[in-house]
Amino acid sequence: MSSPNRYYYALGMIALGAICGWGFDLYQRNQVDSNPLQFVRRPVSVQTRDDAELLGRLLDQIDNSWEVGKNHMLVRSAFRDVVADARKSTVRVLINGHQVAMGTIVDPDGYVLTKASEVVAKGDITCQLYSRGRKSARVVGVLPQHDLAMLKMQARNLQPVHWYTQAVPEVGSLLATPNLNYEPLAVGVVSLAPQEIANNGVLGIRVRNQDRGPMITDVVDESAADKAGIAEGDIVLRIDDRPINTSDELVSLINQRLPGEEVELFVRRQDEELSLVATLGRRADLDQENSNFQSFLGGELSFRRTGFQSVLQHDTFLLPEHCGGPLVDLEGRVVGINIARAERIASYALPASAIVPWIDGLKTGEYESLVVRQQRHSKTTRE
Amino acid sequence: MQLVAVVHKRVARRALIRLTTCCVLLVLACCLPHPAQADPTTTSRAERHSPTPASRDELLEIQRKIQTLRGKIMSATVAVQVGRANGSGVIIDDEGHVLTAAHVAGQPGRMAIIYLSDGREARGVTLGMNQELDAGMIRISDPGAWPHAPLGSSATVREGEFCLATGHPGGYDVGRPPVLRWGRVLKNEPSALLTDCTLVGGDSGGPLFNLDGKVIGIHSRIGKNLTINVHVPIDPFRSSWDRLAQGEIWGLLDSEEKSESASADGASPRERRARQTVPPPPQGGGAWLGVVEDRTAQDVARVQSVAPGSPADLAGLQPGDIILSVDETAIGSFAELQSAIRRNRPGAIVTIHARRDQQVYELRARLKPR
Repeated sequence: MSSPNRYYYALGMIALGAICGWGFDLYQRNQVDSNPLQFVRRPVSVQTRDDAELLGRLLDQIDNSWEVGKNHMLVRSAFRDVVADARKSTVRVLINGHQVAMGTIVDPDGYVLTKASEVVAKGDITCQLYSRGRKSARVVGVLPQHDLAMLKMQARNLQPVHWYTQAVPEVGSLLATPNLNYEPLAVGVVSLAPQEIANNGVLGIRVRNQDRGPMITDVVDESAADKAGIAEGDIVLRIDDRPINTSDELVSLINQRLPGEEVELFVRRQDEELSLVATLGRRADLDQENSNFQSFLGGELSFRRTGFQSVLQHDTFLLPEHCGGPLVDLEGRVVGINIARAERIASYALPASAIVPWIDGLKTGEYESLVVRQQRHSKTTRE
Repeated sequence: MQLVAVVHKRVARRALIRLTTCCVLLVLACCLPHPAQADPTTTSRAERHSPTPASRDELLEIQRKIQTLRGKIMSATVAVQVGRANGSGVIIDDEGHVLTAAHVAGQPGRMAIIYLSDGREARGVTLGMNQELDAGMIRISDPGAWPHAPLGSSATVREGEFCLATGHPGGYDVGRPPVLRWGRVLKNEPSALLTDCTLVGGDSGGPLFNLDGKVIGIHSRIGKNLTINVHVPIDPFRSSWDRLAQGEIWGLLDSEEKSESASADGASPRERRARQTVPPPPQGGGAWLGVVEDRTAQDVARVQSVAPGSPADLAGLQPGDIILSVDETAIGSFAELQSAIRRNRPGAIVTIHARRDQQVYELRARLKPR
């Protein structure tokens, strides 16, 4: 090789080295920050098929592509230790293959607490365990005032929850809702101390006191009253077996009943007495007011979300089918069961101390007669 | 044969020379500082984003902070009633100034009733408001000592920072304390903070706190998703404090008002006029964005002005923005921007990354025909 050629060869090699160095530099840069423009949003990493299935709908609702959101995988990963025990006591409750609720294992022999109104008399029940195994289950007891149902699976040696009943977590405590996976489904904070949530069944009428009793002055179109055939000018005499004398009595009696419940009204119309059956609606369906509309922004709410003696309000993003499972504090203690998705800003949990006294009765079928009532009730509401 | 060999040799030599030149240029290019290193305004991801908690201990620390702050932030959070409007607010000094949303205060000079979380009621008067940002102010007129929360700064808020929201969702409920929500800052823009602290009607005007217990925003509006909760950043309240306190009302979104409020950025009247006078869209084929080149900018595509009503205007581009990319194509000059835009058909939606005040924004513009 002549000397100029050797010169070019050497220069070429140097250049090659430089190119390699430059490339490596770029590569390193990309390791630190894959995009120098710092894209604000990125898709969330969904790791398993189960994750995708379970989280898919929730992700739709919350638009969880925010990489800095509180429910991003990285934040939920920090809660792994917190839910390590409770996730093994969590099940998914499926009806005809679709998830309708979560469940809480309360006994090694296959007893599971869940949200009654989503599960009872809806179809064939299957529970999926954290090991991913599936077991069929049946309802053995229902407690309508707490909207709890006890399921029984054919299983042994399951890991039941350890209830923490000594105290209710204070406002400002962080909470996690376990999933079957290592990470919780979602995280949140206690928003309000336990409070009563009144029932709010409504008929959709306006009433005025008259000498002969409360008279209907207005019926809202498409309301429960309208569908039952109640008309303006009707005088209400009785509701079920209770005589009604004033409009206040009428309103308070209806407000104590749940949306979806049936009431029988005896009314006088001109000279006849009629018996009309109404299935109560809820206030939110009547009001077109802004605040009610806003409450639905951000996802579906549980059908049964009122009529609780005492619930803890927290701000965890849940869907109706995420209720019924355990709720844990940062110590990993099971402080209650998620019982309703109530508002854009609120999910409700029954405190552990309100659940534990009922467990034995639910297991032994003490409340079985109620199942029949509940079945009848849910059939009518579905029609 | 010999001739052919010579020709080959010459071709080979020429190729080698070319290669060498290229290599030398490349070596030189490597020696030059990388644009990202030279530009101090480009911060790394880690600096811009608040760190994510990685363990239970870090979560416990966050919880400890929340528990410590709880009493203070609750006592400064109030319910506000102005006429039929119902909302929330926060007391921020012992003179009884209450920050709220403009749409809660409604008009300056109206009577307001303030409900404190300790059960007290106080009368107040609505002061000024910036309707464009939805910033409003009330002053309690009754004498008294009022619990209050300190003001923070929204400019230093980092994305991913944890925050707390309080307020009276659904309206004031006697006996119910303010309702607490927890979340992270998803986006921090000069005119709005976005968090995943869920809000609902009645929360409007309530405070957003950082984990030092300082007010960094005022609740304003929500979107369909649970992650769209918009707060007015606190800095505009600070910078227009006198106007608010004197009962001024502005930000009605007409062009004159807009140019006046733009004066806060310190531009001279002449500069402002220059921004206002924007040539009409040029004629001819292709797609149109509606930005005018800042010719003083070197090696970047900086926007001098934005045509009112143009795709750029609607997307939120502002004078001074530096356009970094269009649909992930990096933009290094105004000419590159022009060709990147012209490549699209009118009606196409392009994603633009632009830098403003050391922050990178993602904007979407629907292009119009030229």
